[in-house]
Amino acid sequence: MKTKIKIKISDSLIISRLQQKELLEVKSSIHLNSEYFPLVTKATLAPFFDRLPKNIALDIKLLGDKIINANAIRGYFSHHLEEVLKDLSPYDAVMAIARLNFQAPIFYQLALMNAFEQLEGKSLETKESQQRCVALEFARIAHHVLVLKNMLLCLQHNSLAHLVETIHHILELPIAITSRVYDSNEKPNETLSYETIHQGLSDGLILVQEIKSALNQEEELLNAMAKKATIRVFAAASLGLTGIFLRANRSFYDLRHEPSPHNLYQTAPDLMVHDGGDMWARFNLRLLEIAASLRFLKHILESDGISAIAPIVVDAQFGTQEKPHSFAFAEIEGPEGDIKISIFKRESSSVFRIRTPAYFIAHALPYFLIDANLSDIPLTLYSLGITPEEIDK
Amino acid sequence: MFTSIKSFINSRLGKGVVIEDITNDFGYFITIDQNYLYSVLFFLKNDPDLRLNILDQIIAIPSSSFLPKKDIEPRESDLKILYQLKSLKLPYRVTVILEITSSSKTIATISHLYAGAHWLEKDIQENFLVPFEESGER
Repeated sequence: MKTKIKIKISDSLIISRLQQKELLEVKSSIHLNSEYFPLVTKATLAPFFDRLPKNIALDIKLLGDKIINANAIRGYFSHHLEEVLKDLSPYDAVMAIARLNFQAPIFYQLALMNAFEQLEGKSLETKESQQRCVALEFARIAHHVLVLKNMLLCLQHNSLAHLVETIHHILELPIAITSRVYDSNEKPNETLSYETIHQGLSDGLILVQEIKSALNQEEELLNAMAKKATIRVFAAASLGLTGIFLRANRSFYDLRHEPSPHNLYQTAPDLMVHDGGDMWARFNLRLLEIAASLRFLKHILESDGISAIAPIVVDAQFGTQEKPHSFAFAEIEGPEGDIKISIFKRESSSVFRIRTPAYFIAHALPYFLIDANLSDIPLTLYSLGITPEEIDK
Repeated sequence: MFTSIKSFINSRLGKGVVIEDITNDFGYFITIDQNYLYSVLFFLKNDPDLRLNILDQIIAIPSSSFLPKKDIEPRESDLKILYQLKSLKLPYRVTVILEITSSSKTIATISHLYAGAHWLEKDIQENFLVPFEESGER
């Protein structure tokens, strides 16, 4: 006589008919979890740093190789940087916020500078504004190149990864000069000429075309990324995801195109969109955005804007003017989404709030991983382009 | 976009829902009664004239740090919780402000409306000891 089995399914999963039959033949009531059911296993992924243990982790449940449930563990977030900034002078705060992203600190530094300038009611001259846009677009190219390279190396496509990395090599010097805000004493002495950069940008565009042509013939890459880590536009918006997560669903949301008085971009790079909302869409979108940034930079150089690339420098007197406003919200279109710095100022104290896209992406990790295979995790994590420092700000 | 977002919302949801509204370069700021939080945010997200689908962030700041207008004295509240919302398609943003005192009751969670609210509410709960509803309760 077969015993009726109560199976408590607390997680969403798909059980094959064979597995159902196997369950019916067991004589005791069981719960479908890893303690009793050998096909379901648990695993925990967590970042590891030598001197900075973090409690952020990702718990996953697997049915064979398939991820059937994922849960992002917040752990304890220190909010340390927001507390640190309030005791610093504006100049020191701009230097300190660079720790959020060592590879491209310019995004956070310029957002913070913009916020301080809003407090002062200061508006930028066109040339100054353009210089900042140039720095942001070079940093955006560098970020997207790094993410694409990591994804291709993960898929062991070394030749294509090398081709992608060549874009960075060609533009290495302007990227290095514009990647962060400098102190007036430590600024690099190089200022690059129009001809050098123009040639680099043209070569970069040719390389992007070559990579796009090569991608069309690589079915293996398409199979590895298509319909993986998919997130639709309204789900992304609800989760607070912006930037490429929305534009990969044909949304035209882009802060660079927003008609706001605080927008740095007088003219913005072409707005690129893709459809699909999956990893493949975001991969292609990154390439399109690299091309758009290259074209934008070429246009800026060719127009009457700036004739040379110079580093952005801030001196120790920055932000010491009288502050007529009590709060400011500065936003920058980061490579992974909106970066926002809010400053609330009252008499001698200031409250800083930093919005990093990585925080929202980390929260959304389970959505990216449900129904994926275990082997998809490294590629998915590489494709998101986030760093733990940005998550635990 | 709106001459008065307060009038617009009060006309749809009832008088007294929006206590105060301010408009400036940074968008619309509306202070609402805590009891109407879920209703207002549901309306802001789903109304076809508003469509505030993006949860930008939820932040908590001491009341003394936030003074929209110089001639308005701060109310008797310890904390302000700001829900910053944006639209996917319409070029505007709204900040919904809750004023919380030590005697305020549990705040409704909006994680059923905006999935990204879960961690943000937990952050505020841990750092400011503000009670939020558990997300399973609604």
